[in-house]
Amino acid sequence: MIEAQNVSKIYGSFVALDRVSFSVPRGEVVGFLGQNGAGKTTTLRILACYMPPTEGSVRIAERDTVRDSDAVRRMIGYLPERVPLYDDLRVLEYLDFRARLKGLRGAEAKQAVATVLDRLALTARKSSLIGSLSKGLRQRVGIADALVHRPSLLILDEPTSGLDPDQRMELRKLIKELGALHTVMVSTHILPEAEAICDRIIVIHRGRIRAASRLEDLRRGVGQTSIVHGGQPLAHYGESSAAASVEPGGDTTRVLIPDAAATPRVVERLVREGRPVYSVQSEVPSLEQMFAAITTRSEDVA
Amino acid sequence: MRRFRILLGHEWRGAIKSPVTWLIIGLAWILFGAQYTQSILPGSTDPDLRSTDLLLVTWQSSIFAVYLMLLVVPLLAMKSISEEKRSGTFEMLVTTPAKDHEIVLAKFFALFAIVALIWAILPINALVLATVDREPDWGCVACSYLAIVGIGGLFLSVSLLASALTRHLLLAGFLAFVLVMAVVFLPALARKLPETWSDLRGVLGLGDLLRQTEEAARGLLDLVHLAYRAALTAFFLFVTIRVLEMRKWL
Repeated sequence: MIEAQNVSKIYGSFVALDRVSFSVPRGEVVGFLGQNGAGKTTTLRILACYMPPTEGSVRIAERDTVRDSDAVRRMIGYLPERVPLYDDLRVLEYLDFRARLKGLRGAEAKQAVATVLDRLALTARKSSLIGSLSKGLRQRVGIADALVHRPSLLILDEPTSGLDPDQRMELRKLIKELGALHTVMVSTHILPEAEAICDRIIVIHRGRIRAASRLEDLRRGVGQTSIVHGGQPLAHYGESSAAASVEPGGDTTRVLIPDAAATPRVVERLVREGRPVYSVQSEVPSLEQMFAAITTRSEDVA
Repeated sequence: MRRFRILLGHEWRGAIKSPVTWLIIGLAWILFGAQYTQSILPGSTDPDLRSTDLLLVTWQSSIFAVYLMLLVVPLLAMKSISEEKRSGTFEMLVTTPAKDHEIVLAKFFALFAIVALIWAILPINALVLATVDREPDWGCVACSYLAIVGIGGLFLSVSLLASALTRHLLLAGFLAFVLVMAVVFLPALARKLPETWSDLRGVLGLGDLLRQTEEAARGLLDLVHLAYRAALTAFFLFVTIRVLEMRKWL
């Protein structure tokens, strides 16, 4: 559905995106994960045809976002981070305007608006002024707008930002449901959110893609092993980077090995040094740990 | 064309639903009405309208209208694009199939209709005068109305440019005010140039809006002046569109 090839965006001397490449298959919910200022919004704006990349190309459903931007804009539903809406319009009036602007006509537009009002549970509020709505309802109006022309790709920039926990849960459930019918690209810096709704994660850090795969594969890639052995810690556990942390605790010592492949060598060394090995456990990292590992690793490489 | 019509309808409804628009229209009508009354009743002790030169009334009122527009048009247009950019709705607009030029033209024509509505007060006043006293020269009134509305269009294009240049409402308003002042008074300075610079005087004179308003009040509409004004309006609209498109180049 999305093919980004060596996409760079440069503002003056600041490189916001640096040769970013990724692809998103049709029908997936993909989380675009990164800290504030990592380049998430810039990427999504390029996908939404708000601005072109400085270099590289993006194709959505085989159409180039610069050369064929008209066709691409008909295919996407975009919700920017701040959910900008016209406060002086009523919900129905706004959605009708947006549906017609996106190419729907007469009865078709009416039907599409009624459908999204119903789907987003906004029918009871259709006559309310947008300015009088709560943040959660505004978010729903924004999503209704993004959905009204039945786009094949939904681009949601930090959709849950500023919502209370209940509203967040509700919206996550909705995005998950939308994933059954649309390809969804959702940016967030809230890790549990990505974990809850996404099939796949793309991690962006300082304008570069640091990881892009399914969650379980990411976990495997940054998984670590915990070894508990008897006696005092060793001066070296093998290669210099074999032990990420060493926690002495009385009669035993807990060692974390970040590279699972190095575990047998460390165990062998411990046995050789006469330290009894009490347990060897593979630890499943949380998304936070994974994110930290990926971004730290990429900083080391840089 | 269909998208333009949808955007135009949206802009027009937005403009007429805004209390600020009606406040500006009301302010313009009150000030213009006061000036018009002052023109037809030179001295409150002289109620005899027959002593009033109606050509002079049209002339004075037209010039006053141009001065009034220096304030009214920037006030009307200042938030038009800057507010969309500040609130983010501009991003929502340009990520639909709508084009930048359709957005700018829709804003221009919706506000142009408001400007035309404001200066409808000129023929209305003339009609009232015709009812209570005598017929004015309708040709002069029509020429004046067309000249004023045309100048309003030019001011509008300049103000839209100012509004596209910044997200700050007050700054947009101030910038629009400065730019329309320059559009009015720079060409008027051509009159002060030495006779030997006749070519420059001629070119700058084409943009002398005050002189053209005076001529229109006498029933003279010069097609060259009209074309020059239309071209200048189109130029400022073109620059406004390019300013919005800057997001694509930067």
